Amino acid sequence: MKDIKLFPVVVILSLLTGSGIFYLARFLEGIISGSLLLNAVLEESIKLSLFILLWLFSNKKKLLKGSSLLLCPLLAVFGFGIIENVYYFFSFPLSSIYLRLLYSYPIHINTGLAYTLGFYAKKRFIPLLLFTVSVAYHYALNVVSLLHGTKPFIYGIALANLFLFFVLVRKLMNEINIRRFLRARN
Amino acid sequence: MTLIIVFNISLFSLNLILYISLSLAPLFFLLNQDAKRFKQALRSIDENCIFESYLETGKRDQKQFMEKALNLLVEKRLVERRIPFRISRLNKLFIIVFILSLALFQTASIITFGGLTGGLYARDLKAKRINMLIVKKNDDSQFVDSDYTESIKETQAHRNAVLKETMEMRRFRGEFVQSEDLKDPSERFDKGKQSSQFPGAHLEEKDSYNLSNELFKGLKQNRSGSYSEFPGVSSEERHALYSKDQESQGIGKSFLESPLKNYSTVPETFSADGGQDLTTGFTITEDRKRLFLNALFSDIMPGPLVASEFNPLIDRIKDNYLRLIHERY
Repeated sequence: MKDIKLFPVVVILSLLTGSGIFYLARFLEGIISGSLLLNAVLEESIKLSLFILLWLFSNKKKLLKGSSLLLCPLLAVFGFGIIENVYYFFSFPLSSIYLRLLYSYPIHINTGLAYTLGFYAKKRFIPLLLFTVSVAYHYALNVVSLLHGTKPFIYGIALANLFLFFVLVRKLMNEINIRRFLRARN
Repeated sequence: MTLIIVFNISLFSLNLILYISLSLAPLFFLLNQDAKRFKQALRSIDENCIFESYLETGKRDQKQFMEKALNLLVEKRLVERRIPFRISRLNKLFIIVFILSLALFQTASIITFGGLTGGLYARDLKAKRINMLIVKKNDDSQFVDSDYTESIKETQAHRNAVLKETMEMRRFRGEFVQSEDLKDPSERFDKGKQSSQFPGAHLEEKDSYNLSNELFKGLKQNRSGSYSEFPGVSSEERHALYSKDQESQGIGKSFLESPLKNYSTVPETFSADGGQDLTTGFTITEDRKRLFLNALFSDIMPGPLVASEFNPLIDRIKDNYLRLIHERY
């Protein structure tokens, strides 16, 4: 792979981009100061915009053959989540903050994984559907945590989030690996 | 906890490191994927390269032709339940290191605190640690007392040396230094004691005190004014009184630090007296409300708590309700 040498640089730049979009989201949320649904739409839109930008300004054939470039927006989403985690750690340095790692943080990662998988979808409407589902998922979990944040079943949802993460990672990796494998054979 | 004790880092820093590391963990799962492993896994369940051929071919008719053989193989594999689940070497290492670290830290925790400390908060742990140290100190009180006295003496000597050095520096620079400042601070302290015991000193002080009171009344009327406005007071007396006034305010003098400062840890020592089975008081450490909900999402802002007495609508509803009850009964 040609891009393997540049991969650490790409990872760092993507994570920095993620931190940038986090502050952008914060700024916009401050201006709008809207409802939970609006905030969920805003955050998901910002994340999706990274994938759309990649789709518009890159070689699509290369991307569909399993290029590592496809992971850049996903890594930016990771950066977004990590910076948000750190930000919350400084705001609420209590033991309960660790629940974020299982409840809130996987929401960002799972939606990012879903958008990445949307690249490989054959039907055009799939990315839009994934965006709608992601907004609903984000919003629903926000509401649940707000209404029942202290109840034990929150941990059940957290585990479900984790399960979903592993399923999506496995699916994405299979997609990428199959494409890379075929590219290597050709 | 061991890391905190051994490397002397704060619990906050430890939590921060742990939190960021755990945040990066999913990234590790995502990036530690190898296409070679996928190939190996695929070939381990493949038979006569059916899977590989099917994946390789791009033409639809060829795929349809191969589908029958492929489905048969898939069904066969599903019956066999041979799922290739292999953990990479790096992941194995990661798991081993994690388990060993966990075992090590928990053992250290059991040795240090006599139990697992999983459910405790940072401040509880600190308080518990302090209490344990105090209890230990009480056990070896005789050694602690001598050490404590020595440490106070050392601190006092060091403080005096620093003060002397500062004064000499000031003198060298040509700054104004009062004659008393040049002396040994301990001597000055003794002199202060002696002067207060001298009988004549009381009388002088008393006279000047009465005069000062009179002047103070005048000063109240004119704060910015000088002493020259007061009749019957000569210029020398004015100067002497002015100096005394300045002295009483502590201007131009450097004082010895209060020895009471050395007793700042006394309440902690007293609190542990006779407490062999002393435990952390949760009421002290949990003095503020835990913000549980707010930590989950960025976009959840806690709404303002509106008390019912401030809402005029509730009053109206209450009145209407009472009126209806009155009408009915």
